[in-house]
Amino acid sequence: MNLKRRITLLRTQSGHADGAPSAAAPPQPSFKERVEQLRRPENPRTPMAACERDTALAQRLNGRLVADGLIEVDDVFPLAHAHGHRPLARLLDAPLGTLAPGGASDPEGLLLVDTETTGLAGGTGTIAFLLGLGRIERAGLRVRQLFLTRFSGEGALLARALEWFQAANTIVSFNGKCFDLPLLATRYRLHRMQAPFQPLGHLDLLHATRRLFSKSWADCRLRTAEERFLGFIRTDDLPGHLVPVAWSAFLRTGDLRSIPAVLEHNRWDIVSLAALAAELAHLYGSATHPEADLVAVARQKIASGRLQEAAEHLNGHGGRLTTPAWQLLANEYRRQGRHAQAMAIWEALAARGSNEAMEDLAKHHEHVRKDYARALDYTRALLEQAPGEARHGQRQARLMAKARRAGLLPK
Amino acid sequence: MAHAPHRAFAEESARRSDDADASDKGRDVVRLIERIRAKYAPRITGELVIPPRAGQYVPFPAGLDARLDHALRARGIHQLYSHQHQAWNAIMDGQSVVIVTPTASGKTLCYNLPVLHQALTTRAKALYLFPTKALSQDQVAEILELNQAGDLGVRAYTFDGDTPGDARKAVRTHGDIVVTNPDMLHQGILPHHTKWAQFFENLRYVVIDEMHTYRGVFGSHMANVLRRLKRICRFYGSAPVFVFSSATIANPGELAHALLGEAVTPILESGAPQGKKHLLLWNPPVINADLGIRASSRSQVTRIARFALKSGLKTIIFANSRLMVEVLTKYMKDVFDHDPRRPARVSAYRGGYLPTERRATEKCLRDGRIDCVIATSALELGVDIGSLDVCLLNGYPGTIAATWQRLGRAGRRHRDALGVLVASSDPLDQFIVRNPSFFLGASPEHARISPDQLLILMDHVRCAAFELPFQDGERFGGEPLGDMLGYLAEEGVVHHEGDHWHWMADSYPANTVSLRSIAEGNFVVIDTTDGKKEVIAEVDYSSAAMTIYEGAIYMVQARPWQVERLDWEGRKAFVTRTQADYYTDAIDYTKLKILDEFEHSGEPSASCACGEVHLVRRIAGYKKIRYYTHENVGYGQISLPDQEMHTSAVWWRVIPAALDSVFANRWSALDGFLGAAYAMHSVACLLSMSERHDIGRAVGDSQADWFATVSPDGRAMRTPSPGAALDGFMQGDQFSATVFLYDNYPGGVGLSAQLYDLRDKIVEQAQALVSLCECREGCPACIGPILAGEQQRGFSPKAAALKVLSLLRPPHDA
Repeated sequence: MNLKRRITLLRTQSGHADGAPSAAAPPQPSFKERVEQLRRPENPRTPMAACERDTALAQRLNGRLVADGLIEVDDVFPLAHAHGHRPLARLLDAPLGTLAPGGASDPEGLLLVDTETTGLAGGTGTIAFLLGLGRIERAGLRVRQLFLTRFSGEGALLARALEWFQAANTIVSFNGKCFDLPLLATRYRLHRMQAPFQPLGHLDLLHATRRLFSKSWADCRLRTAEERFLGFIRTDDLPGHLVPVAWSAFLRTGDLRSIPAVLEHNRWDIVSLAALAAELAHLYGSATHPEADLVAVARQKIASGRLQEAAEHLNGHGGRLTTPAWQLLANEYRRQGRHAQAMAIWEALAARGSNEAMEDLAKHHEHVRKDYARALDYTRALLEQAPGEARHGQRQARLMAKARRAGLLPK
Repeated sequence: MAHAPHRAFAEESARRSDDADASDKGRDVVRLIERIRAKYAPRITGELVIPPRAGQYVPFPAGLDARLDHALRARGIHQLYSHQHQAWNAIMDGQSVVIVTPTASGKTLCYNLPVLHQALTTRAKALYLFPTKALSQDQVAEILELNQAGDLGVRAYTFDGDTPGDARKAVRTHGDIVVTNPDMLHQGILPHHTKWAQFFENLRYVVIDEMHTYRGVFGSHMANVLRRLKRICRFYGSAPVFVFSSATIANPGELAHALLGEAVTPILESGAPQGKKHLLLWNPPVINADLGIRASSRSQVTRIARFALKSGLKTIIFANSRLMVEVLTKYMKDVFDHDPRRPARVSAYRGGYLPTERRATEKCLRDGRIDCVIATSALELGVDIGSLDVCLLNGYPGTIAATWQRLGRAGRRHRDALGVLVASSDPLDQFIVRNPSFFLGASPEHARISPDQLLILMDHVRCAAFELPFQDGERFGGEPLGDMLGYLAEEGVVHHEGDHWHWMADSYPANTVSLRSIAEGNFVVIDTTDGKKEVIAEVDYSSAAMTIYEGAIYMVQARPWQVERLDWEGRKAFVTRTQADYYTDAIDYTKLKILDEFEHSGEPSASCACGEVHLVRRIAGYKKIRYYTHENVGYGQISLPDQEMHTSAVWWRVIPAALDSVFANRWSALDGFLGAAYAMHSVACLLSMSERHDIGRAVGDSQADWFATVSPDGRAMRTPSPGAALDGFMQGDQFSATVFLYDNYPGGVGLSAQLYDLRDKIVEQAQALVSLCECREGCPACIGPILAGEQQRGFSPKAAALKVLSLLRPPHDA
């Protein structure tokens, strides 16, 4: 019995639903497709034919064969180009620093990164067969795509990407912290090369997107952000799960019909990264969006200690922001001992009828300023709102005692 | 297998008091033995005395790092045992070694010493592999203590499923010693080796403790994980030295060689001192001779323990299940801890307790504040609990290696110690207590693996291809790699380009490969009691049909569940809790056909052979058997597809003429074969360190024309192939009755080849098992359960089995 038959037999006997290899194999091509495949000149039968096929493919993709097994495709999108509702030029005046403290504020130092891979499994068995990069140049947004026509082109791909990484100071990705960059680090390691992104900052737009929109959107995928936030609708886009299938079909059978769509898919990802970075930065600054959770932004700024920015952000959005966000900021000011700022917020809130702010004011006047008369005023006002509330009653009694001791009230 | 520094420290500091009362305690143990012997002589089936042994000491090796020297002295260690020194020399010389020495002989220091020395002097890194998580943690705790004593600054971490995500990076980049288990190496480390690049570049030592647990299926997987590990190390330019340590088995060097794929230096002579040890084999009294029923081992164990405690002797009791630990603890506490105002004298210790609780118990034991501890195998290995005087085993632990490990818990260097093995009614237990010779001389237990078992090998070729592309001409295992990769290419998971095979599937193959079973297809057992949905167990595909058919009683930790529904396609069994007073036993008809005979020996009249077989198993129904009385209380039907399997087998055959000379008719001969097969099966498991379900047995003829089984209607019902006339075989010359023992896994795992090598021993020991059994006509402890009617019809299945066994026994010593 040959090895294949032995394996098939034993697999069946050991409980595999299907002993024969087929589960992972792509659907068989139809007779017509098979004939077409055989006729197609690109179908590599010899190394020579493979090289010709690659050259032909490079032409078809408007790129060039820059190394054995590697096609490079460059595109430039002028900054006036509108991606969805807004021009890419919005990136130029976007307050990028607001997205990540201490990060890049210069749009020309950004490097947009997105990979297309053989799968999502991670580990050493997943390869990025298409690396999309983007950066702002004088002419506009330049998108560079490095596409493998063979596994053997990977070394050249990684080497060629180095130059772009080295020229940048911040990587911009969508879920790149968890996926694209660790994967590329693995690939560099396997090729015994130093991964170039150690010194770079990394702005993962997935996190910023989640913070703003997870409450109003069902999911925070890039596609959703494009449609609901950027106003960019893809037509004839190759669905993400078919991307690995397209490449493996290309490798196995030379079928390159889906390859242009794969590159286009990736190209739009890069352009969207640029547009999304710009729009998110504006939202983190002073812009608004009906579905964006701006309180979450304020909260994040407060949490990272950027109170001035948070105050500006809250002020910038004026009445659109809810009391809890202001309250949060006031508490943070109080915690830091910046009582004047805290009191200003509470007074504004109290004027709008916030009981919580009035209570904070009562505490503030009692404990910080020792202004028992003012504290009593606020406590009385609170008791009018909620006559039965025990803690207000207690505070009133305590304040009266203190006031008496201080000679403010007759003993 | 103790924590050498720790133990040695404890011993040194305890030495003065130890010496002072050594003779007293020693006398107490001897007095206890005398009392037991006087009262229960008939229950003691064997008694061994292992003479004391003086320690052999060697000074610390020249050139030992001064900090390490200091740390050891701070822990009370001023010299080495000879075997530790031998290990140091071999390991420092770059040889891979296997260390086989008894419990409490300082085995850990054999590898900790060179590993720590090299970590201190050359920043060499080490990977420690333990079969379980608990052992890993103990190991790290021990290194940390030594670390602290000498302020060594060596960083040792565990890395397993419990390691938090944010700590993992620190382990990968800063760990000098990383302690993990094979499953984690297989699923978590090797497929992500690039993250561990620094670690692998500097990896100099791989320590594999408890090597004897890597046998059979698990061991075959382990050998392949090591193939993958070595392949990754080559990629990073390292070639680590491997250090194995093992309990006593018959073939440690051979097993280490098979696991590693290269020769390994064995270190077998312990230089650790040992006090005199007494070992008693104890068989509970028979309470029903007809059915061969004995008093429970539990009742005997508590009785002996009471004696020991009253004599002021520190005692450890080992039980084989967590449930039994709880039961025994209750019995002992009822006697000794009934006064809540006094500190507890009795404590339980098992997996499932919180680590803090376990640490506290360990400390109490070391400090001598507890007089009796009842434990599972969790205390068998590694954990330091100081030394005790008496060790009681409630039931045979399954292997002699484990028995010795447990018994090693009792005994200090200057004191007598007592171990008592109390047998249960299980056939293996019964066999062991009736054959004290098993405990003398060399270990009879052979641990074998079969790393090139095709399914296992293919699983790991898959994982290895994911980790690094294979190159044409590369080798992995004993089968042609090109063919295997070609198969994977056809499956679409790898792609051949130039001279490389690249992984291209969107999958993570290690996640679908469990090191503890063959291939996929495991069934999950889901508890649906009270509307819940909880997975309580996993069952191998190969044993599913025999254990989780609808109506089966499925036991977890001796607690019964009933199978309500079996979803064969979905690989799920739905069960509910039950109070049944019976268990179920599947009735299967197994037909074997010999496809190929590899080896052959014996006489023309009776011969033994091994080879490849095709087997069809039909599970027709099951019987319900009441506990204790073993009476049949009902039957059920099972409708499951026939199971087919190619596997390897060993078989014994007798020609009709030889049978006719000793049996009046062939029906009784068949009875003899069935009984003999049952006994041989038990012995085969024992000698090959296998579980009962690892090996299958069948009686039939080699052409699959007929086969025999024990059926609900009576023993030895014959079920011929459809259409064949049975009577023809009952006369004439075509009747060649055969006992088969086979590997119960598709493709086999190498057990049969081993059993063929042990063929004479199997028959011989089976004869001893049956003839020494105290039952009259046969019982579950020797030839299998017999039917009540058989006693009445005056026929002795036991005598028939013995007749068959003597036919099978080679003539030169018959």
